[in-house]
Amino acid sequence: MKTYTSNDTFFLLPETDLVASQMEEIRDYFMKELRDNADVEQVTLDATGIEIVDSLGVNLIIGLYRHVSTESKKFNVINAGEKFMKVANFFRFSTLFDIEKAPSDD
Amino acid sequence: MIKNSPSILIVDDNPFNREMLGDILKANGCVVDKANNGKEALDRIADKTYAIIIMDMLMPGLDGFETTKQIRKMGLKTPVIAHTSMSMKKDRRRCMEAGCDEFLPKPINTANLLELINKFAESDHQSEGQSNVHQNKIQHPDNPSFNGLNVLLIEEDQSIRNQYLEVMQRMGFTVSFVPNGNEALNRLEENSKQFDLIISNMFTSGIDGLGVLNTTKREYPHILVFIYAAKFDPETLQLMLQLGADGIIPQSDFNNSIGKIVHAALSQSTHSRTNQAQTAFQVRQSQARLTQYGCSKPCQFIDMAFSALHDAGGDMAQCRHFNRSGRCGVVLADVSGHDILSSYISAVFLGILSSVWNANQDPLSLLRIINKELLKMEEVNYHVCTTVLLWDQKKSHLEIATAGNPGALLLTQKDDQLAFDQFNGGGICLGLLDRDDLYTYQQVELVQNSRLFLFSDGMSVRKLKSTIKQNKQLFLSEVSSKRELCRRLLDAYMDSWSQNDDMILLCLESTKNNDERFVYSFNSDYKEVDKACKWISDQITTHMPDLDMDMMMLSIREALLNAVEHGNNYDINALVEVTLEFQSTGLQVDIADQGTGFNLNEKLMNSKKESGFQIGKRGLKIIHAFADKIEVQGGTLRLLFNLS
Repeated sequence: MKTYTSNDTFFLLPETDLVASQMEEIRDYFMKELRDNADVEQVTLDATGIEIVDSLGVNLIIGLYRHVSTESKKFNVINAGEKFMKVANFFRFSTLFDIEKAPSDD
Repeated sequence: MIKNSPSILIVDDNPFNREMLGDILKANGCVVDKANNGKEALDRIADKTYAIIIMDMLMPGLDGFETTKQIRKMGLKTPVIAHTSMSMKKDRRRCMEAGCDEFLPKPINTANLLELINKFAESDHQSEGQSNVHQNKIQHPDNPSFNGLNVLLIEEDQSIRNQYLEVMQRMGFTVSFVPNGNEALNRLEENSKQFDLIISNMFTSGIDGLGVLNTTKREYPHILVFIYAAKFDPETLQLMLQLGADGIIPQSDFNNSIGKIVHAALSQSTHSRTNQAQTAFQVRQSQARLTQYGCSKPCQFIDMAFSALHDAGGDMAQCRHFNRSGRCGVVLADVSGHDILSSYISAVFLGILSSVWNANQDPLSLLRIINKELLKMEEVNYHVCTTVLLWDQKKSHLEIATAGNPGALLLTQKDDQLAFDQFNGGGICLGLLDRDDLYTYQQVELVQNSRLFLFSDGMSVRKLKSTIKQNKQLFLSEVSSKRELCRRLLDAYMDSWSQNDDMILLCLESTKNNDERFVYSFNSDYKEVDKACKWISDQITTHMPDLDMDMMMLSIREALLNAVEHGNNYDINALVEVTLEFQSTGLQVDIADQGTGFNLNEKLMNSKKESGFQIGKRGLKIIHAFADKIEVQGGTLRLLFNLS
């Protein structure tokens, strides 16, 4: 997993499934990175490599969205694969933030 | 006037009280004797039978409490009226605990005194008490006679043996002797009814006194066992008492103490039996509940039968069905002793078992946790021989741990031949030691056409094998009901061999494999959930390659997380078991944890109240959204996915 900043947008790349077994590590890493990069205007979750999202993964995404929103910043998701989209649609993520599908799924 | 002119013994160290009481009683037609203290009272009681004893409880030397206890130890049921200035409730209780029948406070109230005397004079205690004395040949402890009692003496040293033989023969015992424990047990195996008592040196070659004690109390509980040694270390002494030794004899004082110690044990035994008889009815009723099937419907694969010999204590067997995929547990236990306290221990044992079993299905864990709980009852020196079994019927896999019980007997049938395989039993009984590494543990595959027999120490494996061989036709022919097998075997066993203890026989029959079912177990850990999901998706890909399983797997994954987080409460040692059943109409997934389950409807209702972005407790929103049907039974969640 990694993060980078580009044009006032802070990118979060888990590069792995958002499932219970990974959750503690991902959450700790992302929350630290967000605190260290508090001056960005937008946070983007890059869903490349995410195939499975379980309930803890959903909680992480919702948690990131809330955290970013409370600081009056924008949150969105890019490169969402087909499986990710199924979960996103079920939980109606798109009513909260923008989700952009991965190019191959267009 | 008092009816029947009862003979009354007044025991009081105060001459004024003695005289005053005597005058009142004589004036009312009683025959009165007097004793100045406890010792004098015991002397008089040994010589003469009284209808009633009036006992001052506070006397110098042998006080009223001790004297009453001695009277009861002698097997006498003569009514004892405690006459004392102590008037608190606790004083009254203490008097009753010592064996008194009534309580008469000082200063004396003549009307109350005569009312009590009348009450006892009318009853038949005198004749009953007298006949008891004769029947049981109870004598004063200082001058006992043991005519008719058969003793097996275990002593290697010829000079000591001859000395003890002479002492015991002089006291009226009929004595046989053997040099060591091995020969003693052989003699008992030949004819255990020949002996009433065993008196053994603690240290003999081969099986020592402790071994003889242990085996005798298990196999021949009617025999009283006394151990002697020049010196006992405290741990050995405690262990001997816990194993049920009826007396410990200091070798340095053998000649003087043997009579008193044996006499006390015999009296205690008589007194205990009387007490047991009084509560036998209630205990017998409770006893019948100690052997239970864990399922409401009769189990097709587990059969039990028992035959109780004693009124109290005894054997217990329980089974429990943990989940729908066939995991079940069996516990067979035998509490030491057959008195009311051992029944109490049975109840405590079952209470502990019932509360910890689901969360400790692994046999060794279960033994350890029950042992820990039993040891908390420090003042109770009872132990429980226990066998615990965990059976995974789908895989025909068994795990057995024993703590003091005999090992299981595996019977395999091939055509008309029966083959036996005996597993190790033993280990230290529960409730004895704060050690949890002294149990035996084995894994057994219960293959087709095989049966596993578990039994308590009231049965011997040799005799059981012999009974099975003699009743081979039970296994070769179709038995009308599986439950009848153990009953028939137990009846046949009792026809061939005498019953010396409670007996319980339990039989597990191999289950047929269902090839359409696939089972996977894992410990409660998130990484293990990932592996389980991989296994499940591989199975689905193999058996239903055209199925779109993305959301189905999401649902299953949530159910697995639910089992880890809520069912097993993140306990890494607790298992989650997944069973896949591929059907023509779809896929059935059973996910079983070790928890107690939950109310599905209630949880779904709560889940609906939550906002759309909350995922519901136990991931139920996801599970419910993608499974066509959900059922919950105990700790098993069943998901059904239709093919259409």
